[in-house]
Amino acid sequence: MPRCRNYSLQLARVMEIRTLEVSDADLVRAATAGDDGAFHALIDRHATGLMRVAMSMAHRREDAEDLMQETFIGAYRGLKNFEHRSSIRTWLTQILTRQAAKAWHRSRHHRKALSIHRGDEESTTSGPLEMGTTRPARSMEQRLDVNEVLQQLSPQFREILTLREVRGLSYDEIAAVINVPRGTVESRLFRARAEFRSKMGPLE
Amino acid sequence: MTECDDQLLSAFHDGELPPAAQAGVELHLMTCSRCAAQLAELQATSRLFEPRPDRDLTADELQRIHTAVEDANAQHVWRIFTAITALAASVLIIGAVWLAEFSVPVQQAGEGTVTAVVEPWETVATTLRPTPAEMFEQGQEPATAKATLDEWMLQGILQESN
Repeated sequence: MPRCRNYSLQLARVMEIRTLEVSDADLVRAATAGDDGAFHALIDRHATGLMRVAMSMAHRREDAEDLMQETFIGAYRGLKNFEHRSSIRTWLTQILTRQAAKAWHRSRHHRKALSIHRGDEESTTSGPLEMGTTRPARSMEQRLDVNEVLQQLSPQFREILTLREVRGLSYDEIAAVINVPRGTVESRLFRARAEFRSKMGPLE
Repeated sequence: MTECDDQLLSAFHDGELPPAAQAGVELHLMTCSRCAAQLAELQATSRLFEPRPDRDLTADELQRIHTAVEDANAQHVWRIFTAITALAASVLIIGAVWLAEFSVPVQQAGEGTVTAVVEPWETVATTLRPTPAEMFEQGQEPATAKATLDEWMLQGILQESN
């Protein structure tokens, strides 16, 4: 199959790039010039961080994987339009958030409200609590899936919380990704956190 | 920061305040237990989002992303090829139709004889040709006018014989 030969060549190119210290900007330039191996190296470099964002924005792991594939296919096709005004990391995150918004709109009529069975969970872990031990944040994380709480938020709140807390973007980067002023990022993030905490319940 | 401001505290937690505002919040936190508790809650919330191994990208998922991009690229190349082929086929079809529509039609005049049907435009063009008398009047060479006259006479004979 021609694809296999092509892919093995690209794999060799990716391995070659891995041994070199090539900047994202250089990889983008090489990929734009037709070096597919450079684009695959970009995938290797950014997929892990993006997957955490995708996992926070999608309800199921398969949906997150679909989002990732759509993101990189979209990036590959739109690479010639990348203007280097933002980092490739921000640009990829922007594509991912748009894909997530599209997916959300597609599925909005089919979504079912999620329920968090906090009562059931609490009954299984009531022993230590009754003894008055302090519950650390890690046990809280195990008891309640953060992702499920995120899914209960509005898409805007889920998006901004994910970009800040999961992706670790600065306010300026978030403003560029979701195309709003920096002041809006600050106020929306504050409201998103308040909403998240109210749904999450007390942490200690 | 002299009064409690939760939004400012949120920006402080993210390290997004300018140095002067940052120092103001730090000063406020030393005297305000409520804001100190709020900050502790913000920090606890952020810890919930720390990376978890079960959410990391697996090697199989990464491989599938590479394959999906490869396939999308192959499909893109195939689409371009299909579009060019379709364009070439269209040009061929249009050319063939044009030739069939506008070429000189022929009809069988008898056994072994094929004559071209004279198109209306061709008849008009012929009739617009000056007569030998007009050519004489226009002062053309006698030899040319004579040749034209001979041609006309020959055509008349042929038409009568048909």
